[in-house]
Amino acid sequence: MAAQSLYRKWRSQTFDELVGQEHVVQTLRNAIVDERVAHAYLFTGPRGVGKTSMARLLSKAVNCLAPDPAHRPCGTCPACVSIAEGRAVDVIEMDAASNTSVEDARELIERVQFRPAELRTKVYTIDECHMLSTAAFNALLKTLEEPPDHAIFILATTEVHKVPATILSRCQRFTFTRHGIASTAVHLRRVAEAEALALEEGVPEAIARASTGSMRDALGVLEQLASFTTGTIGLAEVHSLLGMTSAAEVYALIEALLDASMAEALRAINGVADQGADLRQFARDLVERLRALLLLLASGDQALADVGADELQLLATWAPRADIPRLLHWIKLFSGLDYQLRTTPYGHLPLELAVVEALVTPVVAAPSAPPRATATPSAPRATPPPARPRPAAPPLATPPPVPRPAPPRQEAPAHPVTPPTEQNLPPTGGVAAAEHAEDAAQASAQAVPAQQAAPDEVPHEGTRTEADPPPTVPRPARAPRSPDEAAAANADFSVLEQIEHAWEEIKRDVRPKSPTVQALLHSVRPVDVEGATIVLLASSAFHKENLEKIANRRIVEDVISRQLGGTYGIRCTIEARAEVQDLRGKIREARKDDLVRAAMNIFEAHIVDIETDEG
Amino acid sequence: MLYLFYGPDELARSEAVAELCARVPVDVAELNISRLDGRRLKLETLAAACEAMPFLADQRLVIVSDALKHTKAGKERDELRAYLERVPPSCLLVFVEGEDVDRRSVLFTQLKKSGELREFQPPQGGELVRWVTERARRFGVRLDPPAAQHVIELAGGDPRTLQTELEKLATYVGRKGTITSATVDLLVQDSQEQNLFAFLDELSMRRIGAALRGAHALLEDGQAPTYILFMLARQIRILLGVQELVAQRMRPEAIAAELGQKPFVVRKAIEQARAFGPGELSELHARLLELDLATKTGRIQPETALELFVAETCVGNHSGR
Repeated sequence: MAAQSLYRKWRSQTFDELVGQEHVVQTLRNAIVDERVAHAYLFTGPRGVGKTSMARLLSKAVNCLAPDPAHRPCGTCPACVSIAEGRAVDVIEMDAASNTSVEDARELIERVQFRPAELRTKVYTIDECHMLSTAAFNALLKTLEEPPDHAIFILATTEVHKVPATILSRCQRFTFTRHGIASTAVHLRRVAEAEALALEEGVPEAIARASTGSMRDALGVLEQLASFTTGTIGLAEVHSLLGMTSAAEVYALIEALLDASMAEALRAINGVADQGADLRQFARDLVERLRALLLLLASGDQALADVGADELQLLATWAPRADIPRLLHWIKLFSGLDYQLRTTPYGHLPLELAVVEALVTPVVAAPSAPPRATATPSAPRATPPPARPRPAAPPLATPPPVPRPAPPRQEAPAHPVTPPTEQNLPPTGGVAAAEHAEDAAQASAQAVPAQQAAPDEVPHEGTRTEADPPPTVPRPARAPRSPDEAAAANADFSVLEQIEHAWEEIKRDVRPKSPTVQALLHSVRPVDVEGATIVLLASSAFHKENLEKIANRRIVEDVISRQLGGTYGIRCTIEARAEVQDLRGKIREARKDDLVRAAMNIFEAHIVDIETDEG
Repeated sequence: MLYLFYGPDELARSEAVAELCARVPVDVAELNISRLDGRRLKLETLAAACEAMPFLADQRLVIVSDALKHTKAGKERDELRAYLERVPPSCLLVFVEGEDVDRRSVLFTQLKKSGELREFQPPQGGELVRWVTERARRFGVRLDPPAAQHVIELAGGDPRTLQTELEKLATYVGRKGTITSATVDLLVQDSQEQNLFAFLDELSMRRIGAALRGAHALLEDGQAPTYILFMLARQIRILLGVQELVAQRMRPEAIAAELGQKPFVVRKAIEQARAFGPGELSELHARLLELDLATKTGRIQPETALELFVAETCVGNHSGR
């Protein structure tokens, strides 16, 4: 025999060689020793986990000539050898996928009656038995129930739900489990050693991960690698063969995310893109690792994460820096990328956007909330979320309370975030301030001065942006403009901007609940926010009336509230309100100004007042 | 002599037939036992089988399966009924019916009058537990009382299935061994969706680790994630119904009737529903709808959607109250 595939060459010849499936091995061994072999077995499980190997082993074991039953199958007696070489006439392997009809089953049943020619027991192995037709199953039923003493049946299938219950109840059923990454890696090392292949550190784990529990796949990959590599097989070869992105890039990105380092994160992505790697695969790998981290963190159970030893160590170093809400947020973000990456004309832009979003919004409930508005310490402190345990809510750092709640912020600061690692934070980074703000008192104490340094640097058309209401700037004498009012208006518009930003998503989310309401929403747009009420501008009375029906309104309100993370109502109006020239109107205008926006972004500022040029 | 064996307990039926077969001396068994299939039964064949003389034995045994079900009403049935009166005494004629018999059929009344009827109902409740324990003893192993309960939970109440499972378990632990709940978990496939219920239980208790582990176990069992999501939605709908009706102070039995669920399902649901505040359930349901749409439009992988939902539900506990 010239060359044989590794997986065939390494098919286990004795129970000891078999990897995993200990529960099946022990049962079958006992059955041989106690002479309690059942007349029908059903092996189920995913591909490449040892079903066919086990069936062969059992065929040998019941026919083995070794004097001590405990040593069967010995793999050396004539019976074992003839079965291993596939020339035993009494061991019949039938591929049900190509013999599906009743006739095939009938033929088989007729032959079962004859005694075995050479061996003790006739063994019928029906592989892929789910492919048999219903009639064929029924024909088999009687024989399975009371087969002659000299015959046993072994059915193997990957899709057990296609096997009729009547068959199931007559077979001893064994479920084969997937090979874990660790045990696959161990086996790969053993095979590689015996085949004199040198593997770089981490290669077995990488192959094991890609083969998702199937030993045959794993050995197939190893064989392919061996055929085109001379010398040591390195990780790079594995990655290029499997189209995997290098794990290092994934790790680098996760490190950067955990450290909240935007620059590092973007660098990691650019690295991947430059390599020309498959970005969707990269995103999938990323989600896979984040998931493993989530599982580890949530359950504290290392077995659940199912990773190799090397990765487990890595996960363990990440775990203290991660927390579940953030992980959830990230997984949501990155798992949604697959679709975008497939359709986008902009290369890796969606990935970059996702990273930025992941870092600037450390929030679960308000994924689209602009961080600049949320991070200032003034408003969020005013309305702490009702019951969430807040480790150190610092009322002392709280400026005068704002009357109207700013809902998205309720969610924002509440999650206990791991203390920011100072050295990694860019001085004016959004996340830095955000994390400061939501951390303990001392943290916000640091944040405030940083923001107070902000005003006066970007005066533009008389509009002043400023971080903190306490009067670093003299208040003009115009009476109605209290800072409170300005802050409220400011908060309203920040919400409005969020809604405008998320409007398409809101419409999309409405669709599954009611396509009608979605259609209605196409004809309206959000124009204003009054506290917790969103004002929608409808194009006709018809739209207004229908949207204001209680059932429809509730749908829209639900979706909006969910999107923004808070409780909102809606109100419809038909006329466009003349752009009011009061404070609200001006703030609205000012927020649209590029420079003002930039100032607010950079300095985490919010508008407290508007002064015209002459002022 | 006429017999009619019927009822859903296939194992007991087969064992009763085997017992009758054992009365015929082994060396001439093949000559004195005929098995006929009711689907293709002709009266002549039956008569020929019954009227043949026993060979080196006192009696002949003729076993006919599913004849009552497949004999058409009218002439065919009347003829068969008439023949039943003429069956020679040297013949033991056994009718074995897999499905429920029609008690108004003329054949049934005739057999009731002139033969022996045996109904085989599978054991239930405490009787079933005793039955399982006794069977395990026959295999030469001991079955822990919790394990007995557990194996029934996982494999269901069908005696044939239980028998095969017990044989497998007994082989695993070896002679004189003891089957524990852990053994059962290891070897018995969950055909009753117990794991799913356990998972929902953990989820409603918001134990994130256990719930994630449960979700994982289900995926390992080869359940499709979309199916699990669907079952989650179904369970949440049940909980919604239960919560609503409990608020109206209805009794569990009445709730079960109202919702068209089994009483034990409802009792369990009442416990689970307590863990959720008003509005929370419909929120979860809405979230599932979103995820469902997302999985079906390719915006998220179903496995990830499942884990996300689990984690959100459990974490939501800390933020929600």
